[in-house]
Amino acid sequence: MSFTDNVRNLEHLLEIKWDGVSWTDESDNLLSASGVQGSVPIWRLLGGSQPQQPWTATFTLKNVDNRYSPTNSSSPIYAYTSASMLYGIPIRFSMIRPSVATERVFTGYIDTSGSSAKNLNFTLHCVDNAHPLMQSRQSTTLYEDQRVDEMLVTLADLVGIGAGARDFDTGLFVIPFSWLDEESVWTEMNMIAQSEGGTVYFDRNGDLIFESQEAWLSDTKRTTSQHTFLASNIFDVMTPFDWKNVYNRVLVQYEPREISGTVRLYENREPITLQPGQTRTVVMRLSRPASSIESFVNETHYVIVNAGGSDLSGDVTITPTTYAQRVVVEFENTGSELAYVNRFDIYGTPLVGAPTMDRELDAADSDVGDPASDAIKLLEVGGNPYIQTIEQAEFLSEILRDRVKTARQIYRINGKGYPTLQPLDRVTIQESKAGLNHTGYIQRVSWSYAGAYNATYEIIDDTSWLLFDISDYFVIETSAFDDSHRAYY
Amino acid sequence: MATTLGGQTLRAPDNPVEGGRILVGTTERALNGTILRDYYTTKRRWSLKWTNLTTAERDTIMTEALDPTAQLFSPPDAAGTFTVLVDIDSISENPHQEADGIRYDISFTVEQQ
Repeated sequence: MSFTDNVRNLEHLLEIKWDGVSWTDESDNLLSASGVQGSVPIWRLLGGSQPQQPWTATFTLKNVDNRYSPTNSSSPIYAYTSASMLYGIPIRFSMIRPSVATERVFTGYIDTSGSSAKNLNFTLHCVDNAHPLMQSRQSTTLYEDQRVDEMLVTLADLVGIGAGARDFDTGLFVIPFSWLDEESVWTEMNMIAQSEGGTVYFDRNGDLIFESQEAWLSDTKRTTSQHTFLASNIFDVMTPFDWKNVYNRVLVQYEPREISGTVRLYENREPITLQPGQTRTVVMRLSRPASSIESFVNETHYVIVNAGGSDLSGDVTITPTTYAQRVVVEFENTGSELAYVNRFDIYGTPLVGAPTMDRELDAADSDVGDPASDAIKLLEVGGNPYIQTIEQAEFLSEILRDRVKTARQIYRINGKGYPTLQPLDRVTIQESKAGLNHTGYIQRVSWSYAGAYNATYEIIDDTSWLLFDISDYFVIETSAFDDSHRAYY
Repeated sequence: MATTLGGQTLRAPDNPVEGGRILVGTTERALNGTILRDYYTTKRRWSLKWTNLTTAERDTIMTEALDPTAQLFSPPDAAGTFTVLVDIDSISENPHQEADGIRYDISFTVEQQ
């Protein structure tokens, strides 16, 4: 790594895309910066319905001339700050070692901001590229038998994240049915990835990453140590155990679904009136998500009449846009009379769900005792609609059980900041006085820059994550075909 | 060479003028004592002092010393001209009675911007 020298000449580059087109260099005004990467313990991402927290950053800027104040009409960027109040403006930050390397630390958007009259500065609180996805609510058609990564591609395309801005592993499982109904794209992407123990996040360069559970054995950054923390390059190391979240029983819920026969999925409750020449759009929310819907036929599915009850269906154009759980219908009255849509029914083949099923697994060797004889401490994972098969639930429950049955060894290291180290990287910790010579995975990075670029790394010991040494597992196209390796799950 | 601050020639400060460098960055020691240093650059600093200033000399110096904005500074060793800020917190002004009237001892520090 190019930032590992004990003595580092550092510079920085802070850029903001005020006009949405060109980056403006704001580096000279930067007073300090800080950020957090990966704020959820990684075991909580296994199947859980809790989305990965986006990476965040805070930048404090000199504002003596009120450059960033959105009410200052004399500011050269007033046109942009006043229009947006700085909300949702792209921003990126890099650390530079002159003549050595430039490494991006953060890519995202301004979320909230504010000034300090006393300190004459302005603070920007920013969220990574998940920011627009958190605001974006979308509806889709019903997708059948999509592999996890295929469904993520569908959603990424939906919000304009093209192939060049994403890097997805091949998913391990096929989700029988998936759809969005005015739901947050970010939340759904997380649940889709977590349904097979994977994770999605935006990295420091702003690219959308999906890593499957298989990445623990195949991704170089998780199989090869990316950095060694030594007594000569850290300020302190703390070694807490995470005893609080130890369980001897795990329960993963899954929701089987199937397509049933044709039924009525929508019935309008009140007449829709259409003035002559008028176009109206009506959102018809279906009682259940539908695999298919029938074409609309006059007098079978709808009745359109004038005030006297005479048929006006020939004067009204009906244009439906069909999603899984809603149909958006545009009515256009091309005639000269007031038209009433007195009845409008939608029939189709709905997706029906069986009662939620449980997959329960005990850990007799748990640190909190055997559930057969001792108190039961249960970890329940539910509410993820993309866990639909017993195979998904079995896979998740086994992985989860092995990661929560014993107390997890955590290392909290204060040291120099290294921009290339990210959550999920494998690292080594060697400190003889504390008796440490271990490898682990970074869960969380808290970095700060104000003269020095420092960071706190929260690391989980690899023996608290993998049951066996990583070289013991069989990896396709890597391991020899013999009996010396173990199956992962 | 003349010492100037803000375009004003000041009485020559007392010797020696203490010059120094400021590290813009931090230096900390790792667990085993290794020095870890991150720095952006270095800047210059001068500590100036005068004794037995007349009231007129004092007024000239204090006018420049109390200017909170950036000023041009030429140190007495003619090492060049630098844009500096006076560290206003460092200003010390001590009047004392002498046979010919009130005299002043003044000192302060300027730092390269």
